[in-house]
Amino acid sequence: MQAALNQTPVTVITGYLGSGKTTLLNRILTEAHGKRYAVIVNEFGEVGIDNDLIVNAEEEIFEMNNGCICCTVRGDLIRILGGLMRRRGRMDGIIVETTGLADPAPVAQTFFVDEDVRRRTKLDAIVTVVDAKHLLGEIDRAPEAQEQLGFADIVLLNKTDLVTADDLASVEARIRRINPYAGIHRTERCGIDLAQVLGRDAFNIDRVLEIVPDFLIETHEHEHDDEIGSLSLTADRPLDPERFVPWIQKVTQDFGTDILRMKGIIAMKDDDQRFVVQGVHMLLEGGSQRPWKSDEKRDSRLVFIGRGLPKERLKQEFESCRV
Amino acid sequence: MHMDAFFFPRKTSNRRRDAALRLKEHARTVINADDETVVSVSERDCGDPGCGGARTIVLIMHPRRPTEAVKIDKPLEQITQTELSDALAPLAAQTGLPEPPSKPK
Repeated sequence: MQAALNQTPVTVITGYLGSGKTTLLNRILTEAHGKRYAVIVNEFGEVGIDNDLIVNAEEEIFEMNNGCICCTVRGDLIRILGGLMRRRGRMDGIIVETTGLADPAPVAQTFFVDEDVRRRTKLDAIVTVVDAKHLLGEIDRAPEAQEQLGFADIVLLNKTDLVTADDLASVEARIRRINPYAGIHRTERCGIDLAQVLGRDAFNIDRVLEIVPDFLIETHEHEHDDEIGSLSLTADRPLDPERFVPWIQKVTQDFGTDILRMKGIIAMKDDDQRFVVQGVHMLLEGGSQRPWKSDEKRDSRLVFIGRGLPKERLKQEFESCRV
Repeated sequence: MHMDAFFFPRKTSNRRRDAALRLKEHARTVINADDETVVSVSERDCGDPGCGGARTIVLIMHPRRPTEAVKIDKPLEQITQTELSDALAPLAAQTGLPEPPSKPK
């Protein structure tokens, strides 16, 4: 699909200062992988590479004057991406580096909103680099750290050489409670095959919900006081679109500020097509994906990652959408 | 029920993108946008059965100012330059700059 539409994949790299973000960026820019990437960074100096495909951005976040979060986008990205797409020459991908305390939402929303950006680029993955030694403290002190994890498709749990195996397991478990669906890679100095990070199509909902975590439960026995958590809803009967569609629209409008991400695969009544839906805050995207296979169980799954979600209410309302 | 009508379209197209670019270009002319101003055009479901299914949103982003938006209850490929000019007229007026004449369709 990506090749047919000729969309350039965009990888967003986020993470706290000191997590190893720049190490990863420098690897992408210097290693002989045979690919050509444009990189949008916050400070030239940190990257330290003389490359005509590095663009300095000032992270201009434009917000609606009425506070409407769905229109909070990275205006600078729209401008820069437009400029990059007009350049001649092959570009295998675009990397966007965000600052340490950045909220990934405006970046992700940019790829939902602008028609030109949507046609010519495709958000490939949000990669969050974290410092295994300091993450637990960062999570406790700053909601931004949890948000960066909540938005991640891929997490590089970096600097693993600085922590014990037990501590590493604790950190990883805590990440999982915030985001059950991100792929987690343990690394030292971001030493990972770049093919595990770039060109993953990980933002694609089709990829994510094929993985059903066996550790995922709807309620947690030990509730951590994390701001960000997840909710997974399932239904083994088809849903009535007359109820589900208005419901999911209302949910994203009412709770969109608190919903970081939402993804679902839905079996609709009297419909042989799998219906898929993905959202970032109040921005929703969905449609028929492909026919259900004859040997495929027509179960619906809907996942929310967000803060303070009314889990019982969402569960009951989702179940009431069943036929 | 047309499922896809209730969401942002999942699949975009060259035709829609080209129409969006034309609208962007015209919008920039109407509001006398400088190089720092970013104009974004997108189409989404309007949530109201009376609107015909689609709403086009034009975002005008000026540095150091809140974003402004105009909404036209039509698919973006059906919007004429006159309709866009009329929708943007209040924003052009706010800048204090003379409004350019509406171009023919």
